[in-house]
Amino acid sequence: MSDHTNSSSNSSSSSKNPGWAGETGAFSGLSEADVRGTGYVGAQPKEGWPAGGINAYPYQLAEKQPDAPLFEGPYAKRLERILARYPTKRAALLPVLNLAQEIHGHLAAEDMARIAEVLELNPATVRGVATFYTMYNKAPVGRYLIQVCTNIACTVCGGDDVFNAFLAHTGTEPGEISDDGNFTVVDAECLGACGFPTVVQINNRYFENVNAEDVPAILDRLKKHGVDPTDGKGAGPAAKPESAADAPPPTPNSNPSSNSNGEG
Amino acid sequence: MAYPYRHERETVVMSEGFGDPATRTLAGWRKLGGYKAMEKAFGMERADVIDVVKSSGLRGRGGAGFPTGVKWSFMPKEVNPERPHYLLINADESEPGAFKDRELMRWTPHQLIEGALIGAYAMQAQHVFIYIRGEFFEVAQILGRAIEEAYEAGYAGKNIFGKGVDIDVTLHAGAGAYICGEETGLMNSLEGRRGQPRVKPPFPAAVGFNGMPSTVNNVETMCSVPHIINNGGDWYRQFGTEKSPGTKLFNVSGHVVRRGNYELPLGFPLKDLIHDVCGGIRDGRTLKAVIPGGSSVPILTAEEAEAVSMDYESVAAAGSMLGTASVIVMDDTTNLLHAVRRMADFYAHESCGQCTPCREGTAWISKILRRMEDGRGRPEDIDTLYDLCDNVTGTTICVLSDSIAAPVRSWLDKFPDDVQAAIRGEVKAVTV
Repeated sequence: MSDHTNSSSNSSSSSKNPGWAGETGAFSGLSEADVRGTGYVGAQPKEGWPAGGINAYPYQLAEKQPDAPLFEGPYAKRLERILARYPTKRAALLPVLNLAQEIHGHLAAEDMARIAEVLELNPATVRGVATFYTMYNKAPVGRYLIQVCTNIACTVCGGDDVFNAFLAHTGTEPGEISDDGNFTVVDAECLGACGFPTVVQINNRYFENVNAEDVPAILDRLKKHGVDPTDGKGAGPAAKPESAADAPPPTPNSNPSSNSNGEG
Repeated sequence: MAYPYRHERETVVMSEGFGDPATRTLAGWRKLGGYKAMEKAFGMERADVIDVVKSSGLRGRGGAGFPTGVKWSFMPKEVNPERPHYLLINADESEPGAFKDRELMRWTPHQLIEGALIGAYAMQAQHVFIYIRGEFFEVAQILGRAIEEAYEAGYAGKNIFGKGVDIDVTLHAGAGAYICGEETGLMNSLEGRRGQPRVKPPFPAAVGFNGMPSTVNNVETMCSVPHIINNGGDWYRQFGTEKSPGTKLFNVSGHVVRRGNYELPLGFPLKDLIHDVCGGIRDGRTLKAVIPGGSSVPILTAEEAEAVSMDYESVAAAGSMLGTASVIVMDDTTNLLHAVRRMADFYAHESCGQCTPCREGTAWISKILRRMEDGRGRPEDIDTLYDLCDNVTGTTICVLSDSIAAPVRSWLDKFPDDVQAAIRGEVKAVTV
């Protein structure tokens, strides 16, 4: 750590977790799975956890199904489990928006209307809530949504350089989808991992202690293995939904200008 | 033993399992004595549990520092069956600079669950909602798995310890809004609304989530509770100062050699934290400024920082706030104009929009600073910024806009050379 010579160099490579799970410092024996806890979590059942564990999350999967019906099959069970946890249907609005985004990748006006129907709310109410929160994509994004923290603790350690490197190496402007459909890059507000600058959230996973010079390797890894923490070696629970590297990319470049995710 | 570095001057209470994947599991947590405090608390009168927490002097770790036991005692003593009590855990950790709750939840999820169940018992809450920020997917997966384990082992759910007590625990993800870390904004968000703060009174203990009596506690606060129940209030008071007892996670970011979380007694000298525990300033550079408690607090100069102790009273006396003890260290290469402008952008982006002074004022502050950074500063900008800071302070429902006024005003007050250079357009537009 004491040997670096410029501000965008965040940490020496010896203490940096090879999977970008953050600097492990004095705990150098920890693997990426140890830090991320993937072995403990195991595979989340598609129909959700039976008790209070989390059953809906505002995340993106690499493979989106923009035309799939909402809340059918295993998702019907998850919807039921979500509704059972809240005293009112309205209180379940955020989790249900999460579920819709997990399936479709973004929330279109029709999705909001469908959710309004399910929760017996006015569609304008749903839209008013969905547009308040940054993590709801109001327009399609690439297979990998790359959110680079440029807030105070990261910017003083080179966060802007990392952001610019992601834009340069994907050939995109903030918020647009790269020509191959793979990447959308936005700058994010503080991601709450300030001790590990620069912090980058890619779909559901954090990449930490990222330097500008790491960016090509990260993009390469995403193309090959997705955000899978096992690099396609199979043991990781997220391997299946996230690592379909050979699947054809979805509709490229569908909406370059109107994504407002993460930018202030 | 905090993560990712440890230091011999730490006082390890909450951070014992950090960096050890085994501690995440129920079995691992039990090995550290886990769930003994819960069993002990469930054998006590509810009022006695609250009294122990009161006697420890534990203060809320989310930033405000309000005494936890006193907060708990505001809840109605009897439960009206039509007005169920709720305990809401604030795991929204979104203050720029703060990254302590994330370590607590990803290494010791059962510590939080145990603390929350003790609190729920003491306040007769039948349902605990843990409101975790939406970005913490990996942390939420870990915490969610731990909640499932707690249900399987009978610590949560129906008839806990055979005592006829039912407590549900539900993990709920936010969706990216800083303001949901404000307790009434959190409640609105949990009700499926925009996370806009509410006017107080009524206070949450009377009219909270879904209109019912509710208490909102921070993750680190609740992680302290099992240790206090196990060892007693006097034991806890041996750490820290008289008015700020106990240990606290100090989350240090920025230009130090070893960034990370360190568990230290309150009142620990900031100078020692930076120069000893964190290994000093990177590359042998010199200290320029420190934000001691997350981005919402006034900036300290190097001289001020090296003289202050990290407890609520001492940091206040030095003209700033302990807040979340999220220490952002900046060395002499730092472009403070850029740093302050980036914080202003954040508050402008995160303003919920319901109060005019905040909605307009945060955006104006951000625009003026951005203009300065573009080399088009004007001498009158200083007075305009002071004027804006005055007009967004104390004029709104919550303190979001006060929180940008504090760092901006302290920059104007304490770094006149920087400010003059910014006005003259002599500050480089790029970052350090």
